[in-house]
Amino acid sequence: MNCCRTRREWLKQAAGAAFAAGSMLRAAEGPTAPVAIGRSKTYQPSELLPVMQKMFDQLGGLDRIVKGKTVAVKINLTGAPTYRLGYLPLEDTHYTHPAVIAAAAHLMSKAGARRIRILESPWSTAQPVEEYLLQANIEPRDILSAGPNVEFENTNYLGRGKKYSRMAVPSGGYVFPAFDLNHSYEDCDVFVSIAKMKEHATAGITLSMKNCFGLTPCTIYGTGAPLDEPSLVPKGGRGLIHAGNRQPAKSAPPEKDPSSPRQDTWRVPRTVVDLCAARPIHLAIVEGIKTMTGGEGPWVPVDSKAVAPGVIVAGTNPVTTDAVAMSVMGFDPMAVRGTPPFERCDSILQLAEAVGLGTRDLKRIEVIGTPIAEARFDFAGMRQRRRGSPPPAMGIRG
Amino acid sequence: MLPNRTPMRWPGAWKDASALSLLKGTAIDHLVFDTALENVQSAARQAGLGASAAKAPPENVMVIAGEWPGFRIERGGGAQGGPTGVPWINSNGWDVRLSATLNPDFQVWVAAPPPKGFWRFRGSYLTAIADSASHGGRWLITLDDALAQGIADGNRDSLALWNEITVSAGFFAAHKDWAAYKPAGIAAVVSDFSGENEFFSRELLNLLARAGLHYKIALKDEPGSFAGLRAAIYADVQAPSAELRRHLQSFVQAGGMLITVPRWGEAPGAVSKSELHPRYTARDFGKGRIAMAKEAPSDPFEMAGDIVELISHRYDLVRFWNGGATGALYSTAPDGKSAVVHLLFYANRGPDAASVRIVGPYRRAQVATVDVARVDHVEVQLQKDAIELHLPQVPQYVAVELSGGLS
Repeated sequence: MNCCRTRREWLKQAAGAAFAAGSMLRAAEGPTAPVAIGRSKTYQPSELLPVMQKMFDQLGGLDRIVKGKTVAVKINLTGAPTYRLGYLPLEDTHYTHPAVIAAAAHLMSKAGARRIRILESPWSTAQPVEEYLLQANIEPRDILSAGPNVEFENTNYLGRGKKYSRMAVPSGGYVFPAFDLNHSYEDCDVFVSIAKMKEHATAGITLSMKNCFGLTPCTIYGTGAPLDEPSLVPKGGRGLIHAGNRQPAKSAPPEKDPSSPRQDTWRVPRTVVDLCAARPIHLAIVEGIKTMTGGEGPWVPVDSKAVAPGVIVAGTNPVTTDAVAMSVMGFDPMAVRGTPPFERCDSILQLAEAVGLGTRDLKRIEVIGTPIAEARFDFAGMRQRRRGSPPPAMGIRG
Repeated sequence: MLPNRTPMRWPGAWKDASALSLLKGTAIDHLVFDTALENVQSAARQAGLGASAAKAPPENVMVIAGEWPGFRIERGGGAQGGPTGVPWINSNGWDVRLSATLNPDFQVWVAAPPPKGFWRFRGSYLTAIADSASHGGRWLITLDDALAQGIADGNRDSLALWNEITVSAGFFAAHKDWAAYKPAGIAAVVSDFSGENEFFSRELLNLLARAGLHYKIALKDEPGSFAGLRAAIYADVQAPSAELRRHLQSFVQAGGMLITVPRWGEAPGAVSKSELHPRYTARDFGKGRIAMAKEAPSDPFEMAGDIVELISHRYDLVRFWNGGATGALYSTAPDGKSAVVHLLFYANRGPDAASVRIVGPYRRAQVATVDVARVDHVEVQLQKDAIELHLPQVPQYVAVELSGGLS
């Protein structure tokens, strides 16, 4: 027990010490950018499109970001497509809703994007993203038809590339100095993250930055990755990043320090920040029109609930965007390990801020559109109440 | 497929004819004996039951050696992954169907005793019975030694389990009409399933079923009609006969997709403008397409995955959510106005919040378990060309009876 307590304390202290030295200074230095909040009660294009159009206009216009560019859009289709929260469609709980993807693609196309590439690394498969969506009962044509230049690529393996792209972490990285990723993340001019507004069992929250955890191809970073070279097809999840029980395939850069903590609550937030530094996000969109509480998917063993906050948050800086989204969720974006929603883990926002990706200090972030107080949906209160109750019994699920 | 008897292997622990009383009122109507036990055999015949030696199955019955159905558990409790990323399911369904197709005048029984040290849980035997019966065969009921002894000793738990077994067997025996139903599919697997083609073609059937693709088994000498199918698969090592080639090419001309291998030879039509799959070349021919593997496939696992992708999940007849390790057989009544979809959940308990989407013209659905004729609290959602059911907690097998079809 002493050992465990000491370890936890060490982790907390180590994190605290790392930030104590530079965090406040960095917070002042971290770049800021405005964040727009929009409200849409439904996914009906007639309601959603004008809301998103207005938000992008409030951010200075999409054409400024995408005109004439190849735009890569990372969406969030976490977990198997056969896994629902109760009987609900996956897009109403934990997948980025296709209507939001289609609306974003449509508006980007209208704003002059040359090519729009919808990217995801679906769970344990090299099949096309379109096939994955169909298994989830989502019609990919609704997204493909959003513009004349929209396409998908599965980035969980080599895909259509001839080789993996080596993407270095400019700051040197917390865990990884560089990543080998599917070519799509390099072969683009603009990178967009469209996330679902959710809590996360390992990382506290999953917003535009945590969405980038799925950039890593499981052929290299997956449980079934060979020791030396990438596998041809992905198998399993990203257990090695979570647990640190082995290094990625040797063809890719190894961790900087294999003696660093092996706890997923330490490793995942840092790896996410490394990924966001290696593959900077130009436009962050956090979709919370319908979502779930309690975790990132129905497999999280808590009493998750489907909810309808009816909100979208977008910005050109992922840290400021996630900070505003956290606040909309009722959490303090300045929260640190030991406080909600980071009771057990480090804060991705704090770590990102510390390497200069952006500020999480709401006082330094201009919020446009719906004020936070009006958009707020109390994930934090529900979390507190849930944590006071015993976990539910789990059944057999996909 | 022929209506089937309900066979049972006489347990070694049941020493005398008095145990025949256990079979009274059950559907079990044929006993298979490993040892002579003349007195028991004679008493069984007097009671109107069939009796035969294990090595000499009755006339018009073929017994196939199957696997204990379920998903494989790895050391440490993890489930092995299969071609779709879900647990690797052992099912005898494909073998039952193939055996019945190759031997249309025979009933098919599956000999798959519980493996040594198997983990018996509520529903183990239901899964074994339903896995074969839903595909038109019959599992040769074979009790594990401990259960057989427990039943002989009058143990209450053992007798309760025995009751579950007989109720499960009785359910399928009571639905002899299903034997006339035809499996629905979106593709035909064409082969002679023998000789040099035996391993590859049978593995394809096994793996395509695991991947959830519903298919028709077509013998290359008599492939039958491909009407209503989206694809035909020909992967035999021999080039097709001229007649089969014509048959498959007309299917393509009418809008179907032929998925084949280089052995097919020169394919008609023009190279497609769009790429279908990196391992296949595509040619447009008539209203359809020919997808030919660039190299002769050596791995049925890979080819099965490619086939599923080439055909596309867009045309899935059955989609599951929260079902865990699932299997399904969808068969339609001869008049096309009704259908039954057998749903199997290969885990140690049935799902508590599964959804299933079934494509077809049917507008009414009724869910039955082996002991409840109509399960309550099933939400039915009508969709365009499909019906979606939200199931409450159900056991490892349910039958969805569909009606209201437009035919």
